[in-house]
Amino acid sequence: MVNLLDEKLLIVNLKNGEPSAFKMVVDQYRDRVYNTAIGLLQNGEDAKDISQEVFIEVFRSIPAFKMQSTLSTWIYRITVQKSLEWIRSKNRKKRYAIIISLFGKEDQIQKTDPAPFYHPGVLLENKERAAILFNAIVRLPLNQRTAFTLHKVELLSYAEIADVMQVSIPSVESLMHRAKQNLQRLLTDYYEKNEQ
Amino acid sequence: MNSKKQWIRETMESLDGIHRAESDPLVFHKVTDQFRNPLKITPAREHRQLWQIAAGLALLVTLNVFSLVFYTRFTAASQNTEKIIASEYLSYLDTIQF
Repeated sequence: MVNLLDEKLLIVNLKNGEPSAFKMVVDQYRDRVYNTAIGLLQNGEDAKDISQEVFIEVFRSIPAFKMQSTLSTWIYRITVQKSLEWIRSKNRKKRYAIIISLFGKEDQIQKTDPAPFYHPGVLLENKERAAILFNAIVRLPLNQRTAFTLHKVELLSYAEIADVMQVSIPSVESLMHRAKQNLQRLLTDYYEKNEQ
Repeated sequence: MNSKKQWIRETMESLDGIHRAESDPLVFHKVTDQFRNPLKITPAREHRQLWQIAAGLALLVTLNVFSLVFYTRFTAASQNTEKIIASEYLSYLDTIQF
């Protein structure tokens, strides 16, 4: 973990456009960015693209960074924003595909469920169950999905999630509570359909 | 019933002990490469948005031209009809002797 003084120096160097500072930021944060993005998007290739977009955005926006939050919170915030934009754009495409299907071009539409997502960091013995859980996470509202993923996949504390999502800690607690309730309901449905 | 509850609990806990997924080690080079070739940075969806705006404008212009032509023809035709009615009415008046 970088201490505050080092981080300030790093930000100053970034603002001065020093390539070594930018490399340091990329090396330090690339796994966190990728892991957050892959947790939210549930697709490795999309997460790679988003990671690149995040660092381009970091480099472009660093002159406007006012140091009101830590660098890591700011980078997480950009990652979450970019990932949610990606998800919304995909959802729009799905809605458009449904409209197209009404006009008879059904062959363009993927009718089957998306392929199960296997997170590369999940323990081997939990692999199948985690895939079922990820399939349920996808069905959560975006704010619950974000809070749950940041907490369970990126292992952020509620206080860190509150900073990233720019909400209060009780709001994060509430989001997590509702996310867990919804997931339990979705898993119950899944169990009743598949296990019996 | 118990097995269902147990299965749900175990599934909810299946992310326990998760490790951070490792990113592409070449991400720095890819990002700097994109800065060197700014054309690559422009995502495909921006091009698509430009095309959508252009198509929207083209449709708007076509609709305007179409409605203008239609309006001109319709006005000319209705003026002709009015003239015919007026001339027939006047010719009827000519037959009446006051």
